[in-house]
This record gives sequence, C-alpha cells and structure tokens, in this order.
Amino acid sequence: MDNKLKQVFQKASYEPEINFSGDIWRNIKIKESRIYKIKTILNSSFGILSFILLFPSISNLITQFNSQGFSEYISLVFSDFNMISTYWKEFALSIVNSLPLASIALSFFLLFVLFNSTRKVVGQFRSKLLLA
Amino acid sequence: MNDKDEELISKYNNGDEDSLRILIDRYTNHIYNFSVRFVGVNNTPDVVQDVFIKVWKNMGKFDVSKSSFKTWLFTIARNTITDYLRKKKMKVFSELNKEDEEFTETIEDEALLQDEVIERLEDKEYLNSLLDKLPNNYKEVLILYYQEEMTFAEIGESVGKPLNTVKSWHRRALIKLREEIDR
Repeated sequence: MDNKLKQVFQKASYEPEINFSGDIWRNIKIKESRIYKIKTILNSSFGILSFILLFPSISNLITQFNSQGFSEYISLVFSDFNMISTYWKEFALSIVNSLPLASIALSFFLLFVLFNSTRKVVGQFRSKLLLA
Repeated sequence: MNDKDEELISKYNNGDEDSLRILIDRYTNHIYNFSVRFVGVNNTPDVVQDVFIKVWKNMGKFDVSKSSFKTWLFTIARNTITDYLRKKKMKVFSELNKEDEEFTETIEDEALLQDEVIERLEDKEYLNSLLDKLPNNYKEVLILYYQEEMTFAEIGESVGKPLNTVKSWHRRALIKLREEIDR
C-alpha cells in the first residue's frame, strides 16, 4: 500500500513556474546587495563621524592636560627626580587625580569606533572583491 | 551538482556561493509543492521566497550533526507557513484533540486503503481535493511521508512531535482520507 500511495501522491505534485528557483536566487542576491550597501553606509558614517569628532576631542584633551597641570608634573620628573622617588606614592596619586579621565575615555572611545568602522568597511570591500 | 546536501552546505559556509544556488534548485519544487497545500497557488511563490531567504540567512547556524538539511528546510517551511496563516488569520497547524492523540491502533494498515481505493486516487484533481478537506496536521504528514518520502522519525523531527504521535496522525489521516472517499 505504501509504495502505491507514494506513486499516487507523487503524480499529484504541484509544479512551480519554470525558472522559479532562478527568481528566488536573484531575490536573494538583491537582498544581499541591499544589506551590503546599508552596512557600508552605516560603517562609513560612523567612521567619518568619529573622525570628525576626534579633532575637537583631542584639542580638548590637550587643553585639559595643560590646564590641570599634568605637564608640570612631567617636567618635575626630569628636574627633581629625587623628590619624586621619595614621594612616589603621593606623586602617582596626584597624577591620577590630575588626569582628565572623561576626555581620555571619550577620545579612546572615538578612536575605537573609528578603527572598528574602518576595519569593517575594508573587510566588506575585500569580501566583495573576493566574491566578484 | 551531485554533491550531498551536507557537502554543499560546508562548501557554502567556506565561501562557495553556487552551492546555495544548487540547494535552492534542488528543493524549490519540494517546498513549492508542500506550501501550496496550505497557502494556495497564488500565495505560494511569496512563501517559498521567504523560506529560502530564511535558509540563506541561517545557513551559518545549521548544524549537520543535529538533523538533515531536508528536515531543517521543512521545519523552516512549516514555521514560515504558520506565520503566514497567522497573519492571514487562517487555521494553522492546530493541535489535535486528546481523542486523536490517544488513537488506538486497531485497524490493520493494509485495510485502511485497498488497491481499488488507491486506484481511484490516481486522478490528481480528486486526490488534491480530498487532501484539501483534511486537517493541516494530517495533510502535512501524508505529504511528507508519501510525497517527500521522509521517515516518521524525520517527520517527527521536522514538526517537533514524538514518533508515536506522528504515526498516530498518519493512521488517522488515512482513515479520514478513506472517510472522505466514501462520502
């Protein structure tokens, strides 16, 4: 009974239009291309934005280094090293206190986003070139 | 072209895009024929497209050690059809009642559909009209078993049901089919 039913069922199959699988493949390629474009635009935008924001951020970082006396501390390293080695603990703590942590964190974050976006864009171009 | 499904998947995951194309060519008719039973001829092209787009998006997640590609593909097809039917507020692959689940095997397989009855089913239009009258679960089991030649274990894996439930559905489906023929 099983074999006979299998034959009967297989005769009753519905067939799609000719080249339907080709249409499916074309639609997948169109979707793939759209996703590729969106990713490229997004990653490029993030890269450009972080690059632009990096300049005021670094400028602000330098200003804050100067205004909070960090460069004076550095100059002491070369002029009065004995004092520094004597009071190294206090000195280290003061340096940490004088660091513009927020600006440093922001700058590193922007650098991270810039490098990451650039890496992704380059990766996408490379994979596209390899597949072409 | 004669590569096994699993080999094609491995090739695709290693960057050979044509392997996916071969898989799509290989299974389009199967998925079309399966989907058309539940969503109708007009809606089937869209549903089949969705199925293969999901396959393409999830190829990286497919685990060869867990199931065969065909089983996985039919699970995706089933889920896509369910989503479609829900959106259209149509009957999905509904759970059958307790009576169906506890169906006892009292009738011999061979006695369910005798040769002369099967001969009547050779009329394609007639068989398809009978299948349309069956509940989706029963129809699904019959299509997967007789048309796709999947085993009960594979069907169970695909629909997420134990082996005995699938066997029970299969027998109930044949009885329902017989009832529809006699009507």
